[in-house]
Amino acid sequence: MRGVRAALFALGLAGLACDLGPLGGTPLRGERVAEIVTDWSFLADRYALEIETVAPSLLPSATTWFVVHEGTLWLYAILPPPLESPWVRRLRDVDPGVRIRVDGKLHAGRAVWVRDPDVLEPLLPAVLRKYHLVETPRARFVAAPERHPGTQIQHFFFRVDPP
Amino acid sequence: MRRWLRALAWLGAGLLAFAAAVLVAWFGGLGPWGPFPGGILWGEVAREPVADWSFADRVAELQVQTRLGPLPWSVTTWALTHAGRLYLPSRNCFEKRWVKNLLEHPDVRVRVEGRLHELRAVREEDPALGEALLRQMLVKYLGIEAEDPRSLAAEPGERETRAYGCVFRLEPRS
Repeated sequence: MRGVRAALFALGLAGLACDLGPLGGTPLRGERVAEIVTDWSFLADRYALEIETVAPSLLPSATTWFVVHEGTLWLYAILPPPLESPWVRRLRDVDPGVRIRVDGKLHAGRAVWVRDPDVLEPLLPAVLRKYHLVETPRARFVAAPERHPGTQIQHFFFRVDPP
Repeated sequence: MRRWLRALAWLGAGLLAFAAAVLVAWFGGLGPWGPFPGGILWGEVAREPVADWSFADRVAELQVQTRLGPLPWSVTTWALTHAGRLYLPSRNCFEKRWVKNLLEHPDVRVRVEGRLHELRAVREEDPALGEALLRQMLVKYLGIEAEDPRSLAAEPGERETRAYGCVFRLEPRS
């Protein structure tokens, strides 16, 4: 019986050390910095970001898409309904606290879920260019046309504010 | 020492049993789920080739079974149509296992609304068609209308940070 318990413990440790892709990953390591970033433009040449939610979870970290618009950092995710990334659900429903790892440093922030199309549409050209293969000067959200009923995915945008 | 050896034996046996169960479930037809790939696709095999795939406009996702060596490898993915033909787009395609499989073995099985179709994938490289499919992708999947959209599907330059993509046309095997 002790052997089984030790085996389960070892298995648990192995599980804690892994990254389960869409399900999330283990807590991020890095130096926690107190300074508040007011301009995230220095991230513009990166494709994805490592984040960790403050809300408790066995796998609190994730690799996310993002854009920087006028110096503000926006976390971005898409998923077909009803699927949701665990990190999206935690930020939206549990705690907006987030830590962002950049070059080994952990920056704290508050991720505010934004749905207002008037606020989000100016971000769309950057999002489309970076992740959806489209160059466009302007874009807007549209309702599902008759030809494609119910095929649209969900967009999740979180604006990262100071903590 | 003996206790740890016994623990290791239990752990090894447990891992082996788990791996065997996963392999049987995966390659035996558990199928893909969300972002996770699967094995054999089951369903009624269509006997007649489809003349017009435009019904797939109403379908959000379909499943594609490719081959990873001798093993089946299936994924859930998006689909577009144009002039009655069926196309599979893929973001960052050359990093995707299923695209690599498909480039090596172009014969695929596609499951749409529960029916299986045995098809062959051919890379589509017509830029005009690519633009039309991109516009359709924006509306069908992203719910976005873009002004004067221009395709950026080609692989990015060294200093560019963005996605790229490719599209495969699906044809009858014979």
